[in-house]
Amino acid sequence: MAVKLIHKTLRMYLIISISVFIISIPVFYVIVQKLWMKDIDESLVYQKEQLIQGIDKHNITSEDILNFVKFSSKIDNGIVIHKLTQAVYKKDSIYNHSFYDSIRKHVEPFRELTAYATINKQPYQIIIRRDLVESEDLLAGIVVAQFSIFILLLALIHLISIGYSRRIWNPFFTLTRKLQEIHLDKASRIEVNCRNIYEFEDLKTSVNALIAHNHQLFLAQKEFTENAAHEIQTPLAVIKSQLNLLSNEASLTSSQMEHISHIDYQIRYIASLNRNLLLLTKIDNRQFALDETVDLTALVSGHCEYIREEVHLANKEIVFQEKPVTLTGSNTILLISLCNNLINNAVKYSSPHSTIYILLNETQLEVLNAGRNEPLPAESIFHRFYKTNASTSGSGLGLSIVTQICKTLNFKIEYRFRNPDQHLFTVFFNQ
Amino acid sequence: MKILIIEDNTELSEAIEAYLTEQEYVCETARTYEQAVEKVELYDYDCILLDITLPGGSGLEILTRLAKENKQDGVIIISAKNSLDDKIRGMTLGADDYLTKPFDLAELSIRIFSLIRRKQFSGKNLISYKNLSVNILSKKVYYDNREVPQLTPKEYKLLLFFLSAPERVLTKGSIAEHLLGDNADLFDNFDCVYAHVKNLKKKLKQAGCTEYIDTIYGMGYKFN
Repeated sequence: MAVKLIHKTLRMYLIISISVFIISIPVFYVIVQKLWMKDIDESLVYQKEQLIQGIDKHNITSEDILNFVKFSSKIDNGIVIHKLTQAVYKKDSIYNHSFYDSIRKHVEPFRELTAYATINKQPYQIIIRRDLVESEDLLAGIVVAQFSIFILLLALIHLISIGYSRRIWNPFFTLTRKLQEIHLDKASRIEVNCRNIYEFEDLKTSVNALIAHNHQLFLAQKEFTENAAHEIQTPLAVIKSQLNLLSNEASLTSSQMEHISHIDYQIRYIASLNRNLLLLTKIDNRQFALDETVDLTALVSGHCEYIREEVHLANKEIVFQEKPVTLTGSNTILLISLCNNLINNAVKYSSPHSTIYILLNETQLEVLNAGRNEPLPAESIFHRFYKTNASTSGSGLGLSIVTQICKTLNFKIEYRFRNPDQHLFTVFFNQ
Repeated sequence: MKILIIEDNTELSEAIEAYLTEQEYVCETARTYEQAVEKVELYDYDCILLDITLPGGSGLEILTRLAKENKQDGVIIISAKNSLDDKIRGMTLGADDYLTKPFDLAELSIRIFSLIRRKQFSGKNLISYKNLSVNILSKKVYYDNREVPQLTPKEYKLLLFFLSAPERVLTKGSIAEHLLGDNADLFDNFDCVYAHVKNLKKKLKQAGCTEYIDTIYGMGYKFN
């Protein structure tokens, strides 16, 4: 099942976006976390320095500091200063710390700075802490933000692809539509406005080159078959006319007459063979345009009427059960050839004193005749030059012409044998 | 009756000329396009046999010239091309008939015969040979003013074929092709030709007409 190109690209977009989305969440989380932590650390250090500078500049006494610490522990503003008995020389340390939050009633993460400083010859320990957002909250925030962006992006891509692809691919669709209408027997070029898109210009040029080349080949082939036929028909016409003159000579002996008769018979055979081969080549080359509306009923009954007298003289009969059937998008010559071959075969190979039944309706044409008591080899009868036996006058091309015509017209041909001697050919029109 | 044979193949052209001359037609020939144009412009013919592929030009152009000069010559195209396109093009350009090579001279003869009869508007609806006459309009056949029993369409066609080429041998094959066209190989051994001739003979005999159709051993029939 062929998928539309647009669906294929959209599916690819979707897969890529989902993967990027999934990967981006932890990456975002890590980056945001890091940046944020750095910022908090910097602000903790800055606050510490402000604190030390403030105490130093304004000569704040250790009593006041003690009062401040007492006061600040009551309101929990995150700053604790301890007076030390002796100076500690340690680097500032920043670390994560979790506390039980009595108001929020759960463990809250904090970032804490512990620093040691000697201000006004008095050593202190300073602890400053800042409330952190919980990492789950951060993650959730990122997911929500990313997901909204993701959905928005997908919707946009979809809209653009669907909406614009029709416009962008328009030259392509025009090209394929025009390509379907191309007949090789007519010289033609496909003209499409490619909107200056390189790929379509390229495609158009290639397609036109292909059409031109095929048209040339077609003409050469057509010319060859026609010339070949012409070359054979003219000497045949000469032989035939000379033979006609010869047969009108006076004083021919009976054996001479018999010779003439044999030659005459064989010339007719070659002529009919040549005609049929030419027809087959033309069908193979698709030289018949399928653009006619054909009254099949009139065609079949016309042919039955045309050969009626001869069929009667052979003590046979044709019964035609007709329904009005008209085929469109077809070709008169091909249909005439199809019906005539099937009917003539049935007449030719039917038993003496038998009846040939022809049934025609909207879906099929059936030709039934009584003949030999055994089925025909179903695989080989449609092959070229197949003959039931060497002595029959047919060229062995009739059924292969029928097969080729069926192929050309999208028909299906079927052969069936019914006991004891019924041979049935059915053509399904499939229309 | 004047006939112009435009055909580049010498043997074929001569054979046609020989056959038609014996049937008391006056024949002239043209082998090339130039010769053909010259003769067509200088003279009037009752019938022109026209090959399409000619050295020097296309036979179809001669048709155009005839139409341009408003000439009334009847034209039968004799072409090796059995393609419908050519047939349709020839007919629309003013040809009266189309015969595909190879053809029987007897077939050509009856085509000329019917073409000339159609072209002459003298109200000549009777074709006669000795005591036998055929009314083209009513399709009735008389022998010594006695009516021959109603002929079937094919028997009638066969009789006209005989009448168009009296004293000529018509092979069974040429009769079969005349009556059945491309379907001539419908029956082996041309049994149907034999049966048709037998029935026609029988009906002619009922009107007292005997011994007009001779059987030529092994080959066919001759109308005498």
